[in-house]
Amino acid sequence: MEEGKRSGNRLRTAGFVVACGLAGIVAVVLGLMLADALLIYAMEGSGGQPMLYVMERTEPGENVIVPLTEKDFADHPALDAVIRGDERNPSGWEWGMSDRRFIGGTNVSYAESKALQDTYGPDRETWVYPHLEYEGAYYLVVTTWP
Amino acid sequence: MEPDRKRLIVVGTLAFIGIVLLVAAVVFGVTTFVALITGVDGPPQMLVVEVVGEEDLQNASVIHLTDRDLKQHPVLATAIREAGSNPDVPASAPVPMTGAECLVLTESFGVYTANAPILEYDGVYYATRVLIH
Repeated sequence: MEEGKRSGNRLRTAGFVVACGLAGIVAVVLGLMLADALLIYAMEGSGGQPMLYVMERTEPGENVIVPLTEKDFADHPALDAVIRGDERNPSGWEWGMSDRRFIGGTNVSYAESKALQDTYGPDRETWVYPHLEYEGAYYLVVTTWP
Repeated sequence: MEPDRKRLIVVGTLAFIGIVLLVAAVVFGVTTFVALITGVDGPPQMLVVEVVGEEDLQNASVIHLTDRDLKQHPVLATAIREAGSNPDVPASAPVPMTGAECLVLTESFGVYTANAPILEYDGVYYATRVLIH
């Protein structure tokens, strides 16, 4: 009987510790999300002009290739506008390296700049950019955060 | 027993909110501090645009800028607006830019190359260079 009570107490303590741990993890995740929201709020009020630029490359090389779908364009209208819309600007294409050129750019919000960077930006460890493939061409997404 | 449990719930809730605020404050503080020290997007670089006369063109390549170019490159637009505010007086206007903006301007208009082309907008010619701090 005594043994069973002790075992129940131990179980309750273990449950309490696990619950505290889980609550701690949730609190940290919420804290990080709140910090992100605070940063974006502070930056949106700074008057800076974050931009999205798209670079086209002739060859993807050894890089990771991610096919662009209609969902990508629907989720990110700015990307759509630069790759196949009005923000495609051939005027600066004559200059620069022959295997790459910036095809255009557009003003985006800080939140959109971050979302584009998180989705299409470089790998956080290797800093290698994924190459987005659309209709046989390869694109890299470059965002600014002034 | 009942008041103990209630107190535990209150303490737990406060601790939870405390950790959320603490983590947010630390991340926000550290990120802001790092941004202040290094710039959000790497060390600061300055784009310098100077008004030049037609006699300075010689054999330099000239890129004719459009309104859309300036709309898509706000740093260049700001520098040209400031340098060209009085075209009769040679003026230069250093404007801060991020590393990504420098790359884009170099690839599109050769601003950070040995023989940087001359840019023309609205009949005024501009020479460019980049200062890295």
